[in-house]
Amino acid sequence: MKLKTYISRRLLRLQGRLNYLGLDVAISDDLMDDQVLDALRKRQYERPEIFAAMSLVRLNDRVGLYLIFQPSGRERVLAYMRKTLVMRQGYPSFPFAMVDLYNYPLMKKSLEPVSSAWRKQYLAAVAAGTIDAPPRSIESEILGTAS
Amino acid sequence: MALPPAWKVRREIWRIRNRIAQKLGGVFYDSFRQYLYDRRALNFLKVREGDQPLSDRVAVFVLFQPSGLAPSTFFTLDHLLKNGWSPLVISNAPLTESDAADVSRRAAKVMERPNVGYDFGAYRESIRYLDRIGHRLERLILMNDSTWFPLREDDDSLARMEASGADLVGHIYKIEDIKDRGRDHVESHLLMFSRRALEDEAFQRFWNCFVMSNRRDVTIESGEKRITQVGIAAGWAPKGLLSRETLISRFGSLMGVSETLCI
Repeated sequence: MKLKTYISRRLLRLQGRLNYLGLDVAISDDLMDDQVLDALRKRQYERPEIFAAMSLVRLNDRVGLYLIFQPSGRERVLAYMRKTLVMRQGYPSFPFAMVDLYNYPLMKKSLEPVSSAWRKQYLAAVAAGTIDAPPRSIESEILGTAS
Repeated sequence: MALPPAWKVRREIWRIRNRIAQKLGGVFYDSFRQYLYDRRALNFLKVREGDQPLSDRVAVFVLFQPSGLAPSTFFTLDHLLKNGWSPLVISNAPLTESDAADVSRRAAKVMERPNVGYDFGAYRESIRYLDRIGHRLERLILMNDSTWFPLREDDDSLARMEASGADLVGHIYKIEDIKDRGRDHVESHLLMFSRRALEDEAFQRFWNCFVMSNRRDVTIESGEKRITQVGIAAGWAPKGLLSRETLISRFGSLMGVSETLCI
């Protein structure tokens, strides 16, 4: 195994643990091995439940995906979810899952950072073809607020 | 233990004094303004007849778009019509002639009022209006244009709300603090009331006592949060299509995955 791949995996694990403890820690993509990142990106688009896990730990965080494949990952992820949902609102925390898995029918126009991040992530998923595009009038308005 | 510096104590006393003055002043000012508003409401309230019939399933749709109506507004109205609702559009900003005409084609009534009291000010106005004309309701939706809704043409969330059997239902039931349920509320971008709730004395009392405020935090506390708490006390069993528990169980059922990630 390449050293960088090994380091990437260790970093992911560390990030997972820190996030699990409630510390918001992001790891720069520069520190990650391309192979690892590609694998994560590929997997998240292949399966909706992985997409849900990805959105679980908020906004492009990789920890959800990592946790779910750990021994007893399901319990750990659910525990993390409960913790997240106590502290934060569900729709910006789980944007893909809300729209794709739960048919969540609306999106806030609010200019608050959390709503902007939610829209950005939603548009990314639409662009990737992971979730259906909204009606044209709505899509153009959402795009207008994202630019 | 060392005492805090005097400037900090002074600052905190000043802050508390301001807060109390703001609260008391706000209550008196808002009540007085509402008294004047109600006396003159019929003079400045513009009501147009729309092309659609006013049925016993009314969806009050509050708009605040001073720069002209966005196309998604019409999409929302079409969706309400498709689902068997009579839109009553109430705008907190003046409508241009062409916007008013476009809305009228899709609504039973179109109203324009001054921007007082945010969405709850407009909700109150529409309820008073329906009461004035003696219109009997089977169901009522109170919604505003702070969201894009629906995100899918075949969205069935309104039908699911009706089928839920709750007397007060919305898209999201928000729990703010698990230790203090007194702040739980159905988010007010869309509230649906059953006939039982509409005929309940608690509903009438809430709107009779509601005081419009131009402060957002006051409107959220005395409008959005209060109406749910009134509903809980009156036994309406308020609920949302989504809550923390439904999310957790939905995710839980998806996560029965035991494979190992190979990277």
